[in-house]
Amino acid sequence: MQRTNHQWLTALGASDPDVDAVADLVRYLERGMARALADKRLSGADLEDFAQEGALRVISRLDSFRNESRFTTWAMSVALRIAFSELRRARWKDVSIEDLEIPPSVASDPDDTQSRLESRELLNALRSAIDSVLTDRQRTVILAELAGMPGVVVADRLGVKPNAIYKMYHDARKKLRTELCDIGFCDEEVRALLAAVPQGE
Amino acid sequence: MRLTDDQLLRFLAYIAETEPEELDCDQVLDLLPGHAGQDGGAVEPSEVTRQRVAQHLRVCPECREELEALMGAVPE
Repeated sequence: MQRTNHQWLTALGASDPDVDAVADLVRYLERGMARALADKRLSGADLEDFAQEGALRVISRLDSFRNESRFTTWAMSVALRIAFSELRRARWKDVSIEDLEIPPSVASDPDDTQSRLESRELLNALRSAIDSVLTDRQRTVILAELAGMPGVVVADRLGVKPNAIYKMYHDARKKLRTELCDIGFCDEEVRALLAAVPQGE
Repeated sequence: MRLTDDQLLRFLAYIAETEPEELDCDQVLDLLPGHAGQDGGAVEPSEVTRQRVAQHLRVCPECREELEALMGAVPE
């Protein structure tokens, strides 16, 4: 099934896509996902479903292929996003977005080293900024992000598109960055403090 | 579910990497194949594009996971 990018686009982009090209694409996606998602222990049926759905999505958005890679690599990235979205939804289905809480502030300890003291101050400043400068929705998105909840799951819970979540997440980070810098924790200070915090603390 | 200080610390690193303008996940999806280092495309991604994708990957663990999977899925 060796095809150039142009041949793939021609075969799949017709009003009636070439049946052999579609079948080759589905097989290619299924084999690649079996390798990439081996640790997820998916069934053959799941892989086949993801590959077929991926091929359909690829055909529907051929115009967004930028020709900066092999066509098949781009197609694989589209199919993988479908697979990951479904896997992330399944993994987080029992976690409520309403129950996420910021850890409480911890008072400084007389035995704290200077860097530990400063990192406590930074964490307390972040807690305070999350509560004071974000909208309720931005706060929800940030807490979900902190918990590791994927954007597609947050989007489902809030009834918006995943890209809207990224915009809220980005806007919230910008506000927090400005607020922290205003009180003396600009990027370089934050990086230096993080570098000084021992792993696991 | 109570979050932990470790999660706050990880997020602080993302705040320090924040840029005024960032690519979103959909934009990165279309750029990821070029970033994965696979050749075969007719067009080479620009250095600016590479930097913007790299910045997004530093603040988006989901796209990082997808890039890693993509590199495992596609034969050299």
